[in-house]
Amino acid sequence: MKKNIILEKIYYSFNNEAPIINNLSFEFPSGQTIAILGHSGCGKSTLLQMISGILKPISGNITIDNNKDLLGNISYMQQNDLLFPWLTVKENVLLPLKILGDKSQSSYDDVIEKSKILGINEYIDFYPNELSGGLKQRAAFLRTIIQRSEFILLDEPFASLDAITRMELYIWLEQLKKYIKKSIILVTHDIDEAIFLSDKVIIMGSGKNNFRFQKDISMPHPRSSNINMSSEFLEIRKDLYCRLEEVR
Amino acid sequence: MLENLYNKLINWYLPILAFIFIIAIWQILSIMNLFEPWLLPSPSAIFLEFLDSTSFLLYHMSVTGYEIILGLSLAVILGIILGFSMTLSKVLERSILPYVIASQVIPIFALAPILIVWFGAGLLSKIIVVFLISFFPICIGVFDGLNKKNNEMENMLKTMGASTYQIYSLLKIKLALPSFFSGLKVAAVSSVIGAVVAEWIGSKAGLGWIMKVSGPLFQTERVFASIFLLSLFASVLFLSVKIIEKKLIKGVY
Repeated sequence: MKKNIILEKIYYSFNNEAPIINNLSFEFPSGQTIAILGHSGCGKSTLLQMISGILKPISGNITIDNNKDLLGNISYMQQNDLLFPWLTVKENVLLPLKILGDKSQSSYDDVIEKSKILGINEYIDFYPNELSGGLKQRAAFLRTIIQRSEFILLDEPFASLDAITRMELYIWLEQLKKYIKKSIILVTHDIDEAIFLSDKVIIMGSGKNNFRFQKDISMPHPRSSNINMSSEFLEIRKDLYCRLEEVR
Repeated sequence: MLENLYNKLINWYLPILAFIFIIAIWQILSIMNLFEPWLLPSPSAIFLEFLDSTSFLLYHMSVTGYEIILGLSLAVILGIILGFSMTLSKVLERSILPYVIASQVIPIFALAPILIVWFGAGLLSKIIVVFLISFFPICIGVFDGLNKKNNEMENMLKTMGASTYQIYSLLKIKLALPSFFSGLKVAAVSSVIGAVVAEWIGSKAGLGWIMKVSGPLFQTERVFASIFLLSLFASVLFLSVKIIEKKLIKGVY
């Protein structure tokens, strides 16, 4: 059964100041990749933290399949890789399974299989300080997708990487979506990233009416690196850029 | 390879060379009769004292060593328990911390005679003095270490469904190790001082006792031999802690 994430009139402000999220209601459907695009400080990461269960909204409800218990039910990858430096890549990646007490061979084999798709199987016994930024992000991504939750939250996961590595990871992610079949909510301030990876882009602003604009991206998956030169891509980018300017 | 050689030079050869140089100068000054032998014996006289009284000195070193190991072990166990308890709640922190600090403020020279009156001149009073002097840095090391925050990593574990126990065992304890070992290194060296102070004030054995009884008899070679053995013991203790630290905190820094 498909599980949707439902936001009902959620409200949040820091230190009782002007609300950053104000009365926001929305339903994130399963099976899609939705990108939330917005300027720095508009509340994108705060929203993801609330959906993950780390932050509680001051008022309103967030549920997944009518369940208010979000911690442990939604995977969340933050901007930094957050790999434990004292563990190998394999130990880091297996951390969610260890927490659940899953020591089965089939789960382990599944991790190894996915590590091949992500191209990090050769580095599985390395420590994080022996890896490049791109490899670290792939390891962190693998750790996120092996969790059993249906939804994955990605908070600017590629922001610290150079353009070439970022494009490589977009392509890996596009390939991987076929296998993992999970719903993704991606927060970013990069228009190209949002268009390349998502089925729908939401433009977000702070304060009242947070979700200002939504656009469906109908280009077929898996997308390749030359798609961002297509006229359709450029047209969407121009449109989203104008919408972002309006939100500023 | 050159870097390896340089590290060996810095870590091992230079301290050994410095030691040989100081001993050589000391021996030359002694041969030149620049100071009275009963005031400052020559290195060769101290070495001869080692040879003449090996079993006597080693027996007393084992007594002092036993007191140190028992007192330090007790300090590690209670330091970890109290340091950990104080991180669990503000109420516990406010109830325990003032007494932990107070235990360090009282001069051990003032407290040791009372402890010997209460617990006798045997092993127990020595263990308590060693414990009191080495407990504080361990307890504060554990407390500070467990209070170190890495909110992002902690939040990540929470989103994976980790329990409080798992957050401690997978993350917090690992992050606390450098602080704990800093405290333990200080405690290891201080514990030797604690044992000597306790033996000085009231005992019938141990290197502190040898120093106390040999000084007034002008057996300064024996006093220096005891000091050398104590320094050696403290160094071995310190190095042992460092080796364990190196193994356990790999990657934490």
